[in-house]
Amino acid sequence: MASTIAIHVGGTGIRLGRQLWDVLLAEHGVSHNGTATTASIGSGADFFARAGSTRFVPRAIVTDSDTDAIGALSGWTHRALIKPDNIVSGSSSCSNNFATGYKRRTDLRDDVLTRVNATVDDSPQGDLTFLLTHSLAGGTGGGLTAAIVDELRSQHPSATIICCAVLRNRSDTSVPTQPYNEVCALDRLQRTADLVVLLDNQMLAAAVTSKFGSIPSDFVGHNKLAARALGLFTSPARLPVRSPIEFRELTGTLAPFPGLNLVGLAMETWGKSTNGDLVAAVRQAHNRISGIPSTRSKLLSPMFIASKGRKLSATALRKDSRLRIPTWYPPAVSVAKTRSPDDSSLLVENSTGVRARLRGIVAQFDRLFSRDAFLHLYEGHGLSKTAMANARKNINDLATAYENAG
Amino acid sequence: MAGAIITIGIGGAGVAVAARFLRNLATDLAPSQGHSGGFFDRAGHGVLVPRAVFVDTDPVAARRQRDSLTGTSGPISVHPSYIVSGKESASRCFSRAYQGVVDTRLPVILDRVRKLHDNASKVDGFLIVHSLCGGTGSGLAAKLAERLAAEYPKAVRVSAALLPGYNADASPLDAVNAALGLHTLVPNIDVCLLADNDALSKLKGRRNYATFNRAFGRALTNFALPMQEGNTTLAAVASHNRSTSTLPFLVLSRSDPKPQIAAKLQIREVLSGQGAFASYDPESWERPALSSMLVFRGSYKKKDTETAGKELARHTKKGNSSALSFIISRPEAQAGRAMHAFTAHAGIGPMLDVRVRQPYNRLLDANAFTHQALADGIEPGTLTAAHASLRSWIRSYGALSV
Repeated sequence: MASTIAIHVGGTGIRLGRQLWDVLLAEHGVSHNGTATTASIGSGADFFARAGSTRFVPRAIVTDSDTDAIGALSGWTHRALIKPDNIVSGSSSCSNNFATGYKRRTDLRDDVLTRVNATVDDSPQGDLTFLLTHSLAGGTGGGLTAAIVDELRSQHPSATIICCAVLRNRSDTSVPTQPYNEVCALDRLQRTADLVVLLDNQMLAAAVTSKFGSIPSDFVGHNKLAARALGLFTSPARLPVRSPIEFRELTGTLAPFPGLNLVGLAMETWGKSTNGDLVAAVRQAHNRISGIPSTRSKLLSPMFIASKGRKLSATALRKDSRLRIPTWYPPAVSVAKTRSPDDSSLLVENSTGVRARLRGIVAQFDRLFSRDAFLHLYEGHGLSKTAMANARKNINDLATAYENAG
Repeated sequence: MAGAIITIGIGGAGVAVAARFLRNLATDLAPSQGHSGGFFDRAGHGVLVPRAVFVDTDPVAARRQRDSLTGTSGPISVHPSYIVSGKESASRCFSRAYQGVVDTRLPVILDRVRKLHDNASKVDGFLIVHSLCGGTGSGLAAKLAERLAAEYPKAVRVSAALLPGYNADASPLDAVNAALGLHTLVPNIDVCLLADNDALSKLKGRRNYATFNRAFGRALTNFALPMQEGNTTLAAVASHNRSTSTLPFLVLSRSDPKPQIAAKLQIREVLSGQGAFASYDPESWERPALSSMLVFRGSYKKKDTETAGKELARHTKKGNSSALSFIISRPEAQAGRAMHAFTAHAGIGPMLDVRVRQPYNRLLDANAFTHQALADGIEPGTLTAAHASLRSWIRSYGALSV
């Protein structure tokens, strides 16, 4: 038996997690009080813990360094399904500082790990996956997540760790330290997690605007869309047409080279049916919710996830020159068919285009770092200048590695 | 009395096909024949108990088959202890199963095989049913073949393997699994029956795994029937194949089941590759067949098998022609008679080249999708040796066709 444990960290992570669970609970027919049938749960049982004969509750842990985001959950219909013990909150905010979350919240990290381990003990033995949602730019989302993932890796070395990381909206400059947080967090997570799924708030905003005309200021639209994408991303493990593709296989399929484990998502939401339409759609900028450019990039490993009615040809998609799949790639792309009720299709791509995004983050980092701006805030919380310079170097090297790959 | 043959279904596809095959064989057996012996241990309460172990690292596939296999309403019934499943999936990764990174429960499997072996008065061999794409199917099958070769050196080991298909359910990891799987499996087996889902989907006109598994299972039934009925032994089939080729590969094909088609036309259809269960390049099927085992189902006469044998001889290299022919006559098969061939064919070389070697070689050159195998402890030398084996097999087929 496999089991998947979701961990939602920080304000962004919690809001995204809430929307994600709305999708998962609806797709598996779980009502607000947790009742569902074994048939409707199906292979999705991995995501739920059984409570009694007909009740299923999410294997989810929610944490934030203060109580703001957790308080925001109070209006949520499914809140009662999250075990009260699994809602772990600290007493003071990380103030948008990676160093605080990473170095100074060890008690909170240990509390989270206690809950994680209790959940693992309740789960059947077998494939174990940790699915995290969090932001990269926040103090909690970046720093605390990195601390948690470090600990998860050392306590559960054979588990698969997948981080769904939200990149900040680049046009929002209200918090100047965010580039530091993004670089430091991405550097840690990219090395400890098996897969980092990137989501970009700016692109999510653009996608929401293009679809609904206006952007709600509270990120609900962003998170709904991101949750739909993550719902599809996880659907081969939950709602397979054949046997489930568990997350380790997904990771193995998406990461052809060691260390190059950043993947982006491109979502087509109107259910067009042919191969060509789908390729055109996933190349359109407003569908590329991870903010990875499609031009001048090669797809190191593409995977299409589509509902089972869609007629997609794995060999025809492989031959489509617009996707720019390198010649060494086998004669067919992976196409995972699911019974997901969402008629959208998702392209999960490990693309060399991510280098542009990485370089952009590094450039913003350098602008602050060259002037030693705000450095004292990080040094004051135990993160040395050298450590930050190393993180920057690693991300820059990663961009170079992506440039040379394929 | 036929010697015992122990069937082992490995991995998701292997378990499904093996279950399908044994059910088919049980319902196909002529009522006049003794029901025990061969693939079956004994009959009890109107159902047959197969000499079979069903194995998966992941509990999902085994769980799916458990109810239908262990019940007593079907034609066969398996004791639950002969369905062995682990807890963690091999995640489509050869090395995870082969190197035992996941618990494959190999000692338990070998213990079950030992029990089946000791229960039979005489064991002819093993039939391993598996896919070469999955992690368990490729890795555990190869590991098990190694162990069986060491423990039962005299028994014949036959593998029925699915090659990667590129139209249905492809993963980029398939090429690595298939190459490493074949490289480690082939030294330890005597016969390898090849099929793939692309060819099966073309043959059946649809993409549905239940259909593919049924078709593959039915083909194995026809392979097994002459042995089950005591007309030949697994050893005889293996040595017949080895007399013309040093390689174990056989490709499955069958003629379209239609009533009253001349045997001569049917053998041509079979040799042209139209009814082949493994994808082929039509031109490569112009190359000679080396040897063949022909199973005639339906109202055939001795004369028909002779005609087919002659036609086969015309299609083979001089001096190399040989066919083992068996007629399985069934009253219900009168309406549609079909010829089933299990052929060692020079066309297998190009097929392995396109299906496995070329994709694998490109991945090797790019160092793509190989880091997991290395991390699990596969030697870098093994990766290149797998390619060298494939190349040498393909070359030896090439030399035959000139």
